[in-house]
Amino acid sequence: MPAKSIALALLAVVSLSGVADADTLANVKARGLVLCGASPETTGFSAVQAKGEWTGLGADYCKGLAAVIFNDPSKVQFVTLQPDERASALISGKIDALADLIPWTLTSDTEQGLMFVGTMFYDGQGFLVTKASGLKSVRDLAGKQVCVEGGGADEANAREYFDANNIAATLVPRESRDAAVAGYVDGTCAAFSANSSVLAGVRATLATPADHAILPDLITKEPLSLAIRQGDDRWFDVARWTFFGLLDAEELGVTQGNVDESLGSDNISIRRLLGVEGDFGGEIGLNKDWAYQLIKGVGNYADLYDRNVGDDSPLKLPRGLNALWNHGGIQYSPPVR
Amino acid sequence: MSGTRPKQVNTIPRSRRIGRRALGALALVVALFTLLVSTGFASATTLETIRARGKLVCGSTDPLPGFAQQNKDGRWSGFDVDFCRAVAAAVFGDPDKVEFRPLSGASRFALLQTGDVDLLARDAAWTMRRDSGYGASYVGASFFDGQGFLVHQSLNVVSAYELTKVRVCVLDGGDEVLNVRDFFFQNQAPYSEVLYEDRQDLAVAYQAGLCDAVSATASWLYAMKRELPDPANNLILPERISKDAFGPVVRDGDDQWFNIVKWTLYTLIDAEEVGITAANIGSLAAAKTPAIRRMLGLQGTFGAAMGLSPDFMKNIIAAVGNYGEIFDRNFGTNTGVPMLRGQNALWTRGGLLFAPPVE
Repeated sequence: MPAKSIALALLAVVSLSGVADADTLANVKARGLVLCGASPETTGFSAVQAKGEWTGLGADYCKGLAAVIFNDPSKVQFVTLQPDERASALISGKIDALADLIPWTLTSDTEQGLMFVGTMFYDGQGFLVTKASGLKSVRDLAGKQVCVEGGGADEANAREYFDANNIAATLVPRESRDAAVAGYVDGTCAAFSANSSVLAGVRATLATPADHAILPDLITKEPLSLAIRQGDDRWFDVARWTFFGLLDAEELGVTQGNVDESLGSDNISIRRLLGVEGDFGGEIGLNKDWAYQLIKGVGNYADLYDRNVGDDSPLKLPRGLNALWNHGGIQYSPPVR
Repeated sequence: MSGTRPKQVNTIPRSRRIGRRALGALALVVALFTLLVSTGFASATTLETIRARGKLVCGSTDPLPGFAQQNKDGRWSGFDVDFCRAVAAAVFGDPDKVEFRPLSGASRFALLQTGDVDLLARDAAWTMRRDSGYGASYVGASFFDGQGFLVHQSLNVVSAYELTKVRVCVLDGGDEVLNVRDFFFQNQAPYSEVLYEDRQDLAVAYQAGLCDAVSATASWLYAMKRELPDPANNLILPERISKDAFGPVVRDGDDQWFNIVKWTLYTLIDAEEVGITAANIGSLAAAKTPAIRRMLGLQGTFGAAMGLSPDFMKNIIAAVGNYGEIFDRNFGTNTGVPMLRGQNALWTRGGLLFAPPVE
């Protein structure tokens, strides 16, 4: 008997310490909530709290996770974090996913215990100019002053790009982003350079946003991406296919507005996506109508984009690279089948 | 065995029974530990296993011209084979430390799960079922594809929308035939189906004139076209009636290995984007561009977190070249049957290939 209880105790200890904790989906279901880490930074992209509600591409994705698991997008709790706490909060199990989008790089992918799920927004460094200036491309910046936050990647990238392309622009590094913006607003600089997601946010705060334009050229690539922790394949599948479900729904024309009538569609791809035909959720611990719940709860990718960063938002960012693969962009997802 | 066991227990003197029980408990503990080990808790990692074995074992498609084929000396070549060599270069610094195991359709995922192969270089197209079932995951897309039509030039069509009153060879029982039905229904064009169960049969039937067109994923059509006696007189029509993405697959439970295979793919794509080739890599030691210096291991330290050496990217590119070089070697004009880059061009050139940056 004692030996048996020792073995049982050991089993319990093992379950508690490692194996059970690795099953995020089971933990989420038992808790009745998805916990999403949020460190409000950039309007429209990271999660931000406005009027008591969390919004943003990443926040909507977290609501989507709640929808596929609980049929209820409100079953998510946002946990406020400092940006440098994101990885440790994921690894310790304090949160299940991030509501902030993280730049996907070789370092961030391999050195912090993060597991990237997919790229929610393909970003890159660009330039904000006044429409009155007549500047149309990065080449036109020759002979002009360009304000940038000093000492970081933005300055280094701009310097490298101007050097490599022999563009005689003068970089004006300022001690902070706000100071760099101030230099652009007071006319010291003809352009302000930062990631396009930042530029759109800055533009929305200016006196007359419509008087300013973001040049089409991006000089870096910065895939702003969804991340979870390593070591849980089923949770990775849930997280990955929740993201792919958003894209597949847009491609098939299933929106938050028409998802109910789409249930009656003859299209085999739509029937599979919505769980009318086959069961593609059971394998990963979800119901077969997981994608129906996702789209009903938060919409498809275009719905999320338009609402948070596109035409229906103050940011008014064009789809660009974030258009679907068959509409000139590179957003692509494998099919639900 | 369970039938004989109670008898044995009865023959054991009472004083020893507790010892026996303790032994049983010990066995349980050992079994439990073994279970943990086998579920990946404390087992040798895939990388350690491969290093100890001295070679990578790569599952590749049963010969598919252009993707994987063997010459008469037994040496493998092809797009998928080059990817396996790239992974071997990342792990060993030597692209030849790899064994190819051609797999038929039925056994592909099981051999990955059992550890008989370390990765599948090319397999069935990426779908939710295959990505979430079978204890395996796709690391990413290395080849974008879609179902198309192969026709003879004598049919005098340049678009699938011109196909009417044709006999179409297509695989039975899967999505291919459904896609064909959808296409002709939407196009309101009469046609007839000639159904087969095996890819090889489609080619045989087409060559024998039993059908006017073959519909299959375009990479199959390409492979089929290469095997025809007169490839130049046959064409793959530009339309795609489905989307298929192919890519390397690894088994679940080892994120380090997932990352190694993923970053081997990303290295090939990033190298093409920044302009590092197998041809110029030897002359780039003095390069000033940070993106190039980082990939060559001249600036920053990458790779150690995955258990790889800091020059793993340099080793990959020196061994097999970048993505574009691999594509050209296997599908370029030198093959006599060139394939357009199309969706498999870089994102900066109208294609879909994108990799996160080496930073």
